[in-house]
Amino acid sequence: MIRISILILICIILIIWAAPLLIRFDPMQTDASNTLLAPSPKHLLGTDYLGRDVLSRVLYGGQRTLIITSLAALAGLIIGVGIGLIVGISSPLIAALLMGVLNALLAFPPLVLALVTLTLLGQSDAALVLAVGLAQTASVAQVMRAGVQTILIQDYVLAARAQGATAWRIIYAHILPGIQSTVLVYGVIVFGYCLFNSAALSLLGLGSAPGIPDWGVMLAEGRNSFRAAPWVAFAPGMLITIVILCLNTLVDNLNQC
Amino acid sequence: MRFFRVLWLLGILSACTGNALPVSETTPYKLFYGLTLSVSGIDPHINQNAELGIVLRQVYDTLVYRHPETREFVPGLATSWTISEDGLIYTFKLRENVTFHDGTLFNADAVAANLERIMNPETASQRARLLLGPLTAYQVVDNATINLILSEPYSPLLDGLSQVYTAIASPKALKEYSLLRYQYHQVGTGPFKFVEYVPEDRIVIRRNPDYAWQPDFYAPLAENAVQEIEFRFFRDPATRAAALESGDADVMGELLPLDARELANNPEFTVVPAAIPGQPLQFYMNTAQPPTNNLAVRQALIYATNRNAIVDAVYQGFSPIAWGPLAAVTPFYNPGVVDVYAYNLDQAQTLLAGAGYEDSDNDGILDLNGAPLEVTVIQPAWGLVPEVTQFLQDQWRSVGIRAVIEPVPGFTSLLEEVEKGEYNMVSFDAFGLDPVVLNARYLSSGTVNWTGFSNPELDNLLLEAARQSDNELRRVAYGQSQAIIMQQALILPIRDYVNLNAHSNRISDLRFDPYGWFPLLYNVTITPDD
Amino acid sequence: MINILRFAASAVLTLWLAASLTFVALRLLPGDAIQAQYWEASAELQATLRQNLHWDEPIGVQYARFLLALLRGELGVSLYTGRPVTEILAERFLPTTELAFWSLSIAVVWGILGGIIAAIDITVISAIFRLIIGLAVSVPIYWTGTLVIFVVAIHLGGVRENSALPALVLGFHTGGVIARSVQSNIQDIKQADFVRTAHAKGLFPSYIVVQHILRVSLLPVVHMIALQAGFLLSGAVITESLFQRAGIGLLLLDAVQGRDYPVVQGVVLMIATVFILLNRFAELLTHQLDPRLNS
Repeated sequence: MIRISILILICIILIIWAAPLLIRFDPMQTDASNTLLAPSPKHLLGTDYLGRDVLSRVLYGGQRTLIITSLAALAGLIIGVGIGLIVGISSPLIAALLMGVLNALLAFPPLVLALVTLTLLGQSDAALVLAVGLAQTASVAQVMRAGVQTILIQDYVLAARAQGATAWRIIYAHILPGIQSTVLVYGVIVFGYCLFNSAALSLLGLGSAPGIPDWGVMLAEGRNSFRAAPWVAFAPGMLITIVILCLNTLVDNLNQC
Repeated sequence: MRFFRVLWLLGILSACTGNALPVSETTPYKLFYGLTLSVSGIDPHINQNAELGIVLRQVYDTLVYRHPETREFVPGLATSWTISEDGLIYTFKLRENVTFHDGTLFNADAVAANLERIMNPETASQRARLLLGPLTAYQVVDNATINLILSEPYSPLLDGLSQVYTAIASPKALKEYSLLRYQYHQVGTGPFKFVEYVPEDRIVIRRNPDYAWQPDFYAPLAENAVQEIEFRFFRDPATRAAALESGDADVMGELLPLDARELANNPEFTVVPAAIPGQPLQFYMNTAQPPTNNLAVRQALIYATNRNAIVDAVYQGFSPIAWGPLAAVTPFYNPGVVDVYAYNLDQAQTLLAGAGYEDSDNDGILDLNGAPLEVTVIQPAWGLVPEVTQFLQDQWRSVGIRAVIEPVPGFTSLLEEVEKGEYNMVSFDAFGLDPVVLNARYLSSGTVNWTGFSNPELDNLLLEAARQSDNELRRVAYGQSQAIIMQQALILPIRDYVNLNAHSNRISDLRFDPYGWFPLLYNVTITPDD
Repeated sequence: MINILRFAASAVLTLWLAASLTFVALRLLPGDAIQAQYWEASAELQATLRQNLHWDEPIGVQYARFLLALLRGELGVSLYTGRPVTEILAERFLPTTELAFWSLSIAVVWGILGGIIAAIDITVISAIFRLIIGLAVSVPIYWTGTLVIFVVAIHLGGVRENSALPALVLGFHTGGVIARSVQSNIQDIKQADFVRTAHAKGLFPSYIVVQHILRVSLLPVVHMIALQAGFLLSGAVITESLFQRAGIGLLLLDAVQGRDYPVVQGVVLMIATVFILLNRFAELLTHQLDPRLNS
């Protein structure tokens, strides 16, 4: 399983980044007289509502989607894990304060949080990364805090503490290895949420500007022509699913090693 | 396992309270009508959304109606009216023996109470007050006569009084409920009584058996005329057609063109496109911001736009192409604007070259003094505007114009972007039968003058057209206004609005009033399910 | 007693933070509800309306006014409909709770069972479950939702007639998240020393699974479930909009988009309360299941 997953992921990444060599159509070029063409030898995945070649868009869009989503997920994870660690090991007062902020943030559904952040920061790719990533930090931190607490009460950690190990030492030697699998598993889930949320933002008219190829945007746009031309939404939908599925399998198997 | 027990309790709790909502009487002649937006409020005097009119047109009568076909003013709650020589006093003779749904008698005092409510600043009316224009006072002459007094002549007044926003409500109900509560307990004189409004879920109205003062254009009631109507909300455009097909709704408006096309081929459904008068789908061009401060650039933008291609691809050919600031179905439309800016790339290029633009750095984009020719377009997320702007972007690129698109997610953001004033183009429009909709948008001092254009000649024409009661003179003034707006290339018109409605063939005789948005459901018949 | 006091203090702190964060964020957002409704009206009318809402006062005074009202338990009225926020919340919380309850029930049952089956190595069935769990967390919910609406609902008489559909969709995806957490926890703990010891002692495998593995591995899942419950109760925005559910999520989204300050405040405070209570509940439950935490 792990080999197949790695193979598929590598193939997808290779094809996506080799896109300029492989495709014949400009992914942005509209063509009013060739809209919603079914898949054919000329357009392998058909054309969309604006007559653009779906294959070109799905490949070019992959670059942007994977980069933006990875950055957003990474931002969310790093900040979230950081906060989770601090809450886990800091004094009760600071922990309570941080938990207060976290719980306050959790009171916004991630999509709404991303919407607010993006409206505040203005439209840009950096803002999109930050908005989508930040929307995940509170829940990441929550999960990590729980993980950290479970580890902190383990006998060996208590023993290490009793022997006067510093906080950094405990984090490095015990907590980080202990939450590693949680971070990996949750990281993949966060990646998925980031992907979904950046797409959902484009459903709301935010996120990536219309026209720019992006799996999420394509999925959102494809819904409008879903009945007449399911292939428009099918390709990005499948790719999102395959990528996350492979990542999940990968993480599962890494865990077991 | 305590966790689950609590969850279970929670579920029981929510299930019980969920069933506590009032259950309506069942009739086989019940119609489900799909609304498309969520409404923020449905008080006709206070709120401004079009959705409320779809419902309330059936609940209220207005002083006058406009005939659905001829668009002439015909008697409603007023049987006749006269306008004084100076155009300042409108005298309405009122229909007698009309009662509101709560039994209150309709008379001149009832009209006065409604005018008072609309004009009261406390009401903070969003639209109704604007429709009354320079109305300053009223005078109850006798039980069945009322004078409306204006501070200056204003010929769109009758049009304003024919709209559901100036509907006449029961003075008793207005007094009984607070300004904010009235919308849940509306009482009119119309063919249907208001039953309940559950925000975001449904609005229910039921046939008024006492209704005997209908305007002339209604046909006699059929035996299987609809008795009860439940309006439901369907916000997601992608699933509206599915809601119709699955039976969640019998009528649905604002369908996606692609879905309408498909339903038109389905023998179980009928598509009813309704043309909407007023402004077309258009982009205002900001004359205060370079490069659209240059007339040649504005004209080139229109010439470089292939509207045929856009309307065919995005709107599936359902809409006529727009050429001017008014849709072709609007009264006083000036057909002289047609074809003036027909698609012509050469003309666009000539104009731009004449203005000094050339591609000196060979990047495919024209430039002038080192600055590339770039226009910023504010793009709302609704009405397939994003699809349109993407075509525009490509079409303009072929003549060397770069379009930078600024998407805005909602109306608030759109207004905010407009206020900043850094845009070149923005897509927005208003609907209405009287061309007075142009005034606020093209007068130098207009409250929503988003082109930033200011021209004494246009100001005079627009003001005169609103004061003038003679229809031929109005036609001339508005005709010239439309010509000037297009000579100055203040807008890029795209297509006339057509609301794509469809209904299941269980129902028939669905028609729309001349504003296009509002159905007339009095005569709708329904074949009950077996 | 001290515990309860500490809980109350942290709850008040959280609520105050949530309210203040929202207050600041809302005022930073461009545009306001008066502009959105009275954009065609004169500037004077707009100014008067803003004055009525005290928006002309310094921001500090507005904040103080807001906090004082909050202390009195007043959430204000919607800037659009004029309805009391409490009334709107009560009305919109119902569809959300219903949806949350049913989807969480589905999610917990299928998530825990699915996770266990996927984790213990019964080759084919476990593999199938792993695939289904994988799909549950990797297919976007509006993709599943759209499919269900177009393919399933259309033959069953519509979305409104089949209120179980959104719960199924949401439950399927939420359950996937729970199942993954269960699965990975079980797999982690299978490697742990005490389980190896138990195996070495020759204890019966199923006894080991129930007594040692499940007990410990489901502990963190309690928190996960509480968190998911919180998400569900704070309104599944996408599901609500796909299936026309007038719940809290859509309400919040609309209120943010329309800058309806009191409604946003009310929803945020309510969701924050839900999260606080759920967290407390999960903590108590964890403590009961794991006596070590009480020391």
